[in-house]
Amino acid sequence: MRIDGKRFLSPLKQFIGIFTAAICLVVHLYPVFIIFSSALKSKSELALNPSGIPEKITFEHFSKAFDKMNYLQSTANTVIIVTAVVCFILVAASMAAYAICRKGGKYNFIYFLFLAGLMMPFQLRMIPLYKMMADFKLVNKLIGTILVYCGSQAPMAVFLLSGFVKTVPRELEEAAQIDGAGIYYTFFAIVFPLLKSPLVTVGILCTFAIWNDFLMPMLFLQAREKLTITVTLANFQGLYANDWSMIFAGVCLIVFPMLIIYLIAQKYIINGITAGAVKG
Amino acid sequence: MVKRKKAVRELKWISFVIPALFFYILFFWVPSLESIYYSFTKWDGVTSEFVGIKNYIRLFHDKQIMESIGNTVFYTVTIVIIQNVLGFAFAVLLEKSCLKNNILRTLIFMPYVFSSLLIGYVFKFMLESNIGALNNILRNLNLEGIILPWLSNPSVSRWVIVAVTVWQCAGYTMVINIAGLQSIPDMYYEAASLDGATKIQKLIHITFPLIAPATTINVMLSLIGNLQIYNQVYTLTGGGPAHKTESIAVTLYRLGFSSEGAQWGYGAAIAVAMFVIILVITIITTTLLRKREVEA
Repeated sequence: MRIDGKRFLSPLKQFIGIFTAAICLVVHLYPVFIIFSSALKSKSELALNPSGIPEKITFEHFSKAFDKMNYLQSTANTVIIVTAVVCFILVAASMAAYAICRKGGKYNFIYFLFLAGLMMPFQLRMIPLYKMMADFKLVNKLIGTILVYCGSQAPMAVFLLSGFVKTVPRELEEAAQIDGAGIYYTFFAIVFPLLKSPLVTVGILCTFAIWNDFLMPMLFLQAREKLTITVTLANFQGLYANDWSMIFAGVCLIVFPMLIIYLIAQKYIINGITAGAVKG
Repeated sequence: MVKRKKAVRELKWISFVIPALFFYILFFWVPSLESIYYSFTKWDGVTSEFVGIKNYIRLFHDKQIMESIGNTVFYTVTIVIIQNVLGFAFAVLLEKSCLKNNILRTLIFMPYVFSSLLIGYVFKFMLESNIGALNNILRNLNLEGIILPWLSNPSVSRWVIVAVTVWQCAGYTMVINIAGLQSIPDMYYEAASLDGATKIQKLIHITFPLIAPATTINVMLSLIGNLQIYNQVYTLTGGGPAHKTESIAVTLYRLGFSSEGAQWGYGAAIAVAMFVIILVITIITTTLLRKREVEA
């Protein structure tokens, strides 16, 4: 869409527009600046100058936070969980979305079953889930948390993917079926590759959700060597309540990997969200 | 033979939904349904005693719960309105040719990537009264007059919670709106221009009605998310002072599952009530919004 005439704005109006946009953007990004600048300030400088650019840059908080958070171990734990869940969700949710979109009818009920899941607060299932995990002897095991996430990440993934499957033209599949291809072959050889970009989106959103979650892993992974990355920060914040430089260094260490993934894949994320949501 | 072939085909289709459904039912619905049962009992985790709807009656007489429901409704309504207005404004502005720019879009969306737990810590620091960045800036600008007790006065901190959430999520709304705008065919605007419509008229008569599907999805997602608001409240105010800023989820956690314990039956009842509230509000709103959608 183009609202006509906009390209012929007078230079003054254009300047005012850009100026206002720039101010808004600075305000918008200021908290992000605070995260990085505060982590680089010494404790005494942060107390005197909490809002500005650091005068003397120090990296000591990073190395301390790195040790105290047991960074490598907790990152490894989180990466294992994320990888396993994402692999499962991408295949399982896209299969479910495919069946829901192509079959309709009774399968619409399954769709609503997934949608209802979006509205169920975690607290509703928290205690029985904990007891169940204890019964299955899955507490403090990565595999336990992985399985729980395989369930809890499904609703959003099915929701986004079924919005997208609807837009995939049926002609290709029909052609394949006339040639005698089975449902599995049709799906994995023809439809699945077409879903590449929404799959990337769902994979990344799933990664963010798990990386940033803390309620669930706090319950199910309490042993020190099993902690996930965001839980270490929550614990850490309890220990160093007033040492903000340390906390911000911790925040940086958690945010960095996600920020890099976001900047590399932002096109996929943004396009995927919109395709799944608006067409769905 | 044909019948059998058909049955096999049906089974194959069912096998498509089984993997996703299996873990979802097992780790999501089973414990949730169990909780619904326990909400009718007095339950300490080991033994449960059936008490009928006693927990629900208690809930309706619990002033704290009613106050938390009030807070949650306040958070949700204000966040949904402000976030959608801003998200729409950003989308329209970014679609204009002089600002049409992916870098801006990327930067506006960015806060969504961060955990709301971390965001909570960052804002707690920025809004701290003595060493916080915001008060520091205001003092340097000689604007001490507008310094407020950001996190210690409930009527101010409620708005802080709203502002932080909007800051984090407005980008998401914007992105969905941009897609909505892009799906409106140019010819409508061209036709309107020929008839001499002003920009405002085009916005009201073309953009508003045709962007309705995007609005529906935006409102639905933010309703569902914000009625469960927890992290922002927990990190920014901890629900305080004196539980005045608690949302339902925070109260539920404190009353039902805190160290005092043994109130799990009651906690389950609150959680069920919360689910029902979310379900009813979302269904009503979505149905109403769907009605105003028109085919482009």
